[in-house]
Amino acid sequence: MDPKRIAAAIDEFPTLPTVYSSLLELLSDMNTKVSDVANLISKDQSTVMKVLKTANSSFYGFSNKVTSITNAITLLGYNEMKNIVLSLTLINLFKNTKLNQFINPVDFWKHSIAVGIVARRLGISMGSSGAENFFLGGLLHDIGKLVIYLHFSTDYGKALQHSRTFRVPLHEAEKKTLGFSHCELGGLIAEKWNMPIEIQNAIGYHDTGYINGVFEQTAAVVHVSNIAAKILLLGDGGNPVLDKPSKGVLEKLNLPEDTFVNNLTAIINEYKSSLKLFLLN
Amino acid sequence: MVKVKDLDEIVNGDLLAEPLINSFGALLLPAGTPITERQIRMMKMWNIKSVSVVMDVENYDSWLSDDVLTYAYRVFSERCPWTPESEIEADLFRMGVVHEARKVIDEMHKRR
Repeated sequence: MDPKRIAAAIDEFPTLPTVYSSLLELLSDMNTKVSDVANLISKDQSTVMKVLKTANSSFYGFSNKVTSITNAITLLGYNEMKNIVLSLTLINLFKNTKLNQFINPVDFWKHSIAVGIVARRLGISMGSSGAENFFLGGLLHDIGKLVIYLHFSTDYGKALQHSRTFRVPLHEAEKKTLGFSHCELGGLIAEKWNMPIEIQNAIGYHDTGYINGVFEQTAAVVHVSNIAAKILLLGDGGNPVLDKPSKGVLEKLNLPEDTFVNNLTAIINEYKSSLKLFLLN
Repeated sequence: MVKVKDLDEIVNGDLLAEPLINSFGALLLPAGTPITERQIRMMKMWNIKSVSVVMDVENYDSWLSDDVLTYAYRVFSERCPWTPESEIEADLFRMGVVHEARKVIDEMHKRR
């Protein structure tokens, strides 16, 4: 594949919505107050409604009703608020994008939401402090596929065919037929969007959970969550093969005993409520 | 699985499927609250006769007979091209089997 075509495709890919860029700018200033963030979010009433719906959903399980954006920021923290705004605006930006005959955008986002939910659950089970980034990493893990669907549709058909015929994981088939994988492209998009480095890595290396052979926790969580979402048939990311987790990656996560079975009910319940939040207008 | 239950049918660990609102529109309990004796007493006080509950894992799994699990194992094994080689991989695989089994149970309940 011509590197110029790849660079052009990344260049043409949409930039982040203004509200998110402004939010990032605001949060990078140490003197920013909760009211400044609340004022920015409050400029868009549809975002306000969606943020409040999310904060009041079973996803967070607060016992008292969250009634204002200020209240939501105080309870959720800046990072979680930033991730909610980004998740809502990105899905909104892409959910009606016409892709191709290989993938339905709604199924694509259902799968991405499911990976985010499983990743967040695993983070909570591990007692990790970065659980909110796990959700975002999971939600965006396949963003590179959108670039392929939009710019390399014909070539992608060959990759998919190769994956189906030889029963090899899609990312391997992409490398064989396109010369690069959706993971690599996704990592570049995350870089273009100035995402934190761990999100860039989670997207760029979710095929293995390792960065050049070195274990990376967020990438590993997203790698495993992707497989778990496929096991549960939650949405469809377009990969016809149910991969096995990379060797040793599950063990390195040090998950408590029976983590997956014990989280099954919570995953399904959060998935159902999140679909309403993220995919319904 | 969500089911409407009379208060005397509720067992410890059932979770509220929807927020519980009193006759004045005030929120009594949010969705997802585990229902205990204390909550049941409060519901009786508000003259609530039945509620939608999400049956907890143990209740759900009480429907999981050996036949259902064997069937679910077969269905999932056909779809999953790998076999677990460690305890944690077995946990992931088991999640797939239990999920298949629950789908069978849901289907059985729909047909009733």
